[in-house]
Amino acid sequence: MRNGSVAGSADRTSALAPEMLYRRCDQSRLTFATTAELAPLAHAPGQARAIEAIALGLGMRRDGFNIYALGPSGTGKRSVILHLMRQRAADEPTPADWIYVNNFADPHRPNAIQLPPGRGGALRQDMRSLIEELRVAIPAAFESEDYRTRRHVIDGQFKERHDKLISAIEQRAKAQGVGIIRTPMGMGLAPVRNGEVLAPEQFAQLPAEEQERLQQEMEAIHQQLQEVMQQLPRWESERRAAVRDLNREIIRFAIGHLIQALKERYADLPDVTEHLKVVEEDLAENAEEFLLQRAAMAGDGALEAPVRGAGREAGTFDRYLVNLIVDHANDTGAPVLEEDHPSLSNLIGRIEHRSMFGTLVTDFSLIMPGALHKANGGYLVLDARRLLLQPFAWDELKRTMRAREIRIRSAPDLLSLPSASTLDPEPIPCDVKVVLTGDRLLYYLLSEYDPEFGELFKVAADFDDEMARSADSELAYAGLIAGIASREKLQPLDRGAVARMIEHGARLAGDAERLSVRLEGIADLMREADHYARQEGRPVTAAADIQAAIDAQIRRASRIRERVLDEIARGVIMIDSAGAKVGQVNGLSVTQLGGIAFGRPSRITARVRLGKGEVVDIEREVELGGPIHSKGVLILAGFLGGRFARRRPLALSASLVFEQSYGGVEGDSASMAELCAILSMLAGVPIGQNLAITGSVNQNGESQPIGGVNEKIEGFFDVCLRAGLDGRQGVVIPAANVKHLMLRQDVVDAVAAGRFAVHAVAGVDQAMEILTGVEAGVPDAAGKYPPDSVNGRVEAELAALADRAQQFAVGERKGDRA
Amino acid sequence: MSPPAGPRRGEDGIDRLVVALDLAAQDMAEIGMAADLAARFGAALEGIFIEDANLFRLAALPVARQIAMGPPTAGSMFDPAQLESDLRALARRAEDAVSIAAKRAGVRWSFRAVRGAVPSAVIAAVASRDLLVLAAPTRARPALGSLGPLLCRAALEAERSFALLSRPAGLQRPLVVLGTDARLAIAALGVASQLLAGGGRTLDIALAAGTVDGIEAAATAWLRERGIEPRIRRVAAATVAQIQQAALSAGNDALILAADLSCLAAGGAESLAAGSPCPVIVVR
Repeated sequence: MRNGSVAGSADRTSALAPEMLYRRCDQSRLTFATTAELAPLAHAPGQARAIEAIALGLGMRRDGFNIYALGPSGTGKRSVILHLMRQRAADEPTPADWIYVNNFADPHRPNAIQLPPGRGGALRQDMRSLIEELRVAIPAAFESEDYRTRRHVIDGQFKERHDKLISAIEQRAKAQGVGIIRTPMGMGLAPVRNGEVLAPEQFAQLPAEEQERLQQEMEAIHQQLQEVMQQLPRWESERRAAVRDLNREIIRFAIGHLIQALKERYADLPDVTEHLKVVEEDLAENAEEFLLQRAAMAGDGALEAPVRGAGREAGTFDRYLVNLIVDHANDTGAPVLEEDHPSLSNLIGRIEHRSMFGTLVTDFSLIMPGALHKANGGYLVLDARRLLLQPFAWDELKRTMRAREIRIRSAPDLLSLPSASTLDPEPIPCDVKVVLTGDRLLYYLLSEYDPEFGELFKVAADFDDEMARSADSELAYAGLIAGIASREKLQPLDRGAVARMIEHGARLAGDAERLSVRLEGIADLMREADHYARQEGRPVTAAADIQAAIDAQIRRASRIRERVLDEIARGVIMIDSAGAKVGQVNGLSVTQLGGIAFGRPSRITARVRLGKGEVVDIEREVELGGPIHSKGVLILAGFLGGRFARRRPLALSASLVFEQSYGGVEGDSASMAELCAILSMLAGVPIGQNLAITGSVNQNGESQPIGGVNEKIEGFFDVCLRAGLDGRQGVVIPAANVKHLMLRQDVVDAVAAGRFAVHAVAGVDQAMEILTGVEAGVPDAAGKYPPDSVNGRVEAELAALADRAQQFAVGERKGDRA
Repeated sequence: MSPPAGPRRGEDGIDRLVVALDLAAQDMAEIGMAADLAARFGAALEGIFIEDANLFRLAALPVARQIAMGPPTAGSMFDPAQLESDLRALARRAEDAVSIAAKRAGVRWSFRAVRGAVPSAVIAAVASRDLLVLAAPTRARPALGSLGPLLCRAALEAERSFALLSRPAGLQRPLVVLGTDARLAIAALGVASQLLAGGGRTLDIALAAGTVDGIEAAATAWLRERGIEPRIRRVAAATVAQIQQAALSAGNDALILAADLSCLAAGGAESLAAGSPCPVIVVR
């Protein structure tokens, strides 16, 4: 490097060659014409670690070996998991069907019964048929002549006994001149003559003996009637018992053969035959109810009959139905289910209600299954974020997995809030392999703050969003592209298009040596390119279509970016791309807005004065700077002190600011630029404004890599392009970032034409030389820098500041003494 | 096919159903059935609330005893003012029931309270073309102390048609039991033909052995004229038990009896109604 060179006119030998700015895909290694010739890959390559973890998790049928698939969205977690699950599930046994039936002893707690796959539906149909038969057989039995006769006999016996006693009393009363009269309160006894009650004066005219006799007789009849009335309820009870026995007998006779046929059909399923026995008992026990229903449905003329009938309709035969909640009749293998709305009720099921006379009622037939029921015996995939957003869903999922049983509970139950009458169905044993998919942050948060998470999700399948780029992996990537094209029913892509996709994959990864495997973004680009190809009537998607899609994506999202460039061009945002200034440098930052990230230059200025060795970060002072940015600034003080003030105080106070920055600043990627601004200020050496610099710096002055290098370079390039490329403009980046370069074609072309340059530097000295055109300077044996070098000038300025500080200190002490 | 024609109004028809409501018969079911019957006959419905004169004498008599349902107690005295109040309340309730049932069935209705000696006051209120509707004694409503049997006998003597309604029934498959009087037989057939369900074309008729041949022939001819086929059932004798058995075995839901049947005398009608699975209508 030379002293006295023009600032910002660095030796172009430090500039990177165009081929270092963009790593092309070697199409000669792509040995196919179009993707139609390739075996499509089902999922992204480079996920061996995650796939191995999933295989372990799916294979381990032990408690807690559930899977959390972590990784950024769009990496194909879901499709890989579903693919592996389906592969595995196909060879596994089909799990059982489950039904809920009425618990006749306690309808509040319906019973769950397990049946071999397919037989749940058969039983449901059998019970429906049985009920159809019952609807005919039971009324027919009660209408039979045999039943009518026997019922008539029972009623007759009761009536005869009743009439006999009443008749005897009536006859006695009549014979004794006493009448039994119905009154509003019951009955009355009074002396009568010719069917009419005696008037008081008639009674008074009777002889005293007759009056006495009548009163005694009325007292006796009264006693007799009271005794009869006492007996009536008991007789009625006896009659009802006799009728009930008859009804039971009739019902058993009518339904016996029907139930027996079912018992024989399900003889191998003890739970079912036991339930059928209970059904039979209940039918016999509730014969009266069927008769009442029948009378009500027949329209017996009673005003309340329709109401009574409606109330019973649901309660009679329907209680023998079967609620089939899990039906595997048409399934083979174990179920694989994905619940995309994992609410509490969608997970563990729910109990619905129906309105009856203004009241919400429910029964076993209104139990609805959840995803855990349907996936029982198989696999369930849930999105962790959606799951956690649903009230109670996460806690109930954990409870279910811990207890290994599905218990249906509603949110009011869980909150112990009063709700409409509900049920407590018998829990169903649960054997579900649960796979959560989510981002890494959620995984780490759950691991840290939920002690049960680690016990229940022991397998972490960590999906990478990038894969290493090599000749082999590029071919695998081509297979992945072929897979997406096949799955999405897109036109084949030709070799050039695949190569462009691979290059774009590297750009998405922000690394020339890696490829992005965020399948969603790749697939979206392919869909759009396919659209353009079809518009043009091409049967194969070409590289130009891919490029058109990339350009269109950028253009659609570029409103803010272009607005920023406009404002820079108009001088509203003050960025120079020519000339040189002391203590002022073009830094670079990246703005991420939605789906697009773009770089933009920011003017960074430094000012120095006599002070106590601190570097003031103005952003930090006004709370616009983040902690990493502040760390970067503080490192600068460490560098300055370590290099220039080891033997004397660092009597410097430097302030740094991002000019025209009104939002937050975070990250340390501007720390090299900030250091250069301070050094320029101290040395009094102007920095070329035709250059921008990015990179972080450590206390040794070494350049460290930063993110978004491509966007940053392109950001300054766009500013220079608008101002006019003059061949002197360029960007200084850390040498460690060279491997990340996948720059836009127009940037590469400009570099190739010598109209723009990208310089890679290893440290601050090299950066200062490029930015200022002045030699940085190397210390001699005594540790002194050449006086005209940047470092020499800095050293001299710091020494002068230290001397002035010492003079001030002496002056102050003298002043104190005076 | 049009429904069978019944007796023409103004000749043999029923103009009005008079529901006799005494203290024992406040059952909405019977009033509802009466209203439905009135609609079937195209007749009006009248509720008569009977305030038996005996009740007031009873209340005034110091030695009268009151028997209430419940645990055995010493007989208590009546309070005439309370009796009046209770009767007024019961009459209001009965009127409400008649009103509701009539509106539901879509028939004209009226209501009145009749105070006087039973049965004469009631029978006097029932015209010859009325059908007196009474609640038949049942298990839940024993005959003891009820005015029903009294009215029943009085209606027979006064040559009035009457219906004894007991348990709920559809009144769509009647069994007609004919006596020896041809006029009464035709009247009974006329009532029965109006009850046939949905324009049914077959009517069950029970004839006791020894019935005059002319009755069967006349009944058959009368029915066939109206497109109805008689289904004759022979019973050994037209006794209460035989008639009940005939109705029971055929599943009939109404018994239509010609008033000249000898079994109706001496409480036969009430026995028949109490033991039958369906209402009984005695046609005069």
